[in-house]
Amino acid sequence: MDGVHFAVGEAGRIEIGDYCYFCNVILLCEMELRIGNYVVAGWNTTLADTDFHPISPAARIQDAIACSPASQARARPAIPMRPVVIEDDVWMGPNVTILKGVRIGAGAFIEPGALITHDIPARARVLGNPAQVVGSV
Amino acid sequence: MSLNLSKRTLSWDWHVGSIPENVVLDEEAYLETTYSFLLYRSCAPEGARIGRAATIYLGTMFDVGPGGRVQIGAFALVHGAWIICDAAVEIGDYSMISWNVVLMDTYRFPREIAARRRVLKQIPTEPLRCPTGQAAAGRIRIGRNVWIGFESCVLPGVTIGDGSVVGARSVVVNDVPPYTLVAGNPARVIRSIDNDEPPQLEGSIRHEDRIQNDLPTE
Repeated sequence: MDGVHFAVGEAGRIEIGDYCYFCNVILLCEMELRIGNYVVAGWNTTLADTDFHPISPAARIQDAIACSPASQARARPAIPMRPVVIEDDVWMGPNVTILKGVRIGAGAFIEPGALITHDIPARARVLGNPAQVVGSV
Repeated sequence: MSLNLSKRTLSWDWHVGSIPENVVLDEEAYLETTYSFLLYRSCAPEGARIGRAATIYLGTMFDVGPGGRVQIGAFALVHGAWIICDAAVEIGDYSMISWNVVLMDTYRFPREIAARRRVLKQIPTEPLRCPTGQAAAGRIRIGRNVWIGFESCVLPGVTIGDGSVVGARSVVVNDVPPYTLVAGNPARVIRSIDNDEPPQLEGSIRHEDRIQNDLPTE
């Protein structure tokens, strides 16, 4: 764990298995990030279990007010969050982005720069934005 | 503002460090901080060469393994790139490398899962806790006058031809021909670029001149 950035909210929980190797990874967690054993994640890779803000414009205005210094303890609107699961033996290159609700199957190989918004099957080799399965390991 | 060559330190440096002995830094080159060599562990006779009037800004990291060699050409501008090198990374004269660009000549870990587990189990016993260079590596060559946009990745074995441009956040998987604009993830050719460079370039020897004068082309 070298230069790893843990941005964990009050209800957030991060679990990292044995023999993982992370270098300058950004972990954004409001709910749950579950990472298995023997997982490698390269420089500037980001994992997030939420988008932090709602998509609906009206809810975004509410959110901006609730986050502001004038919020007067107003509650923020509901923001979708879904756990991220990285199974054993996954390799993620530099500049990879993994978004909420994604499960990466065991042994998958995520090439540098890939942006992942959907589940990835075990042992798939994945590249691109949007990410495509380009082979298997 | 000075470079102390005997101590190999920089008078303006905020990081307490020095330039490794096997790094050749041209006296007109500018290195913002020796922090860029925090992960440098090359044992090659010349692990890095930074050419005439080249500039290496904050954020650039020479993550160079024991057998790695990095060459940066004259007037090159490296504005915060992560250079992951176990074989060789070459950046040509006048090239501009933007922030958070990753130039990697190796994946550092074997692709095969059982072999990767063996390397990962070894790491806690290594003094630097770095993966040892068992993974395959393929030289990266960035030509002369190449511009690479921010947060792009250049993957192992790739050659980018002279005068080409790589759009921001691209992932370059295949070789790029000279004077070509590529972009996307994975990067695709968008169009070719007219070569309007002057025939004589200051302080640089053109590839064609090297061939004409029988000079080495690297």
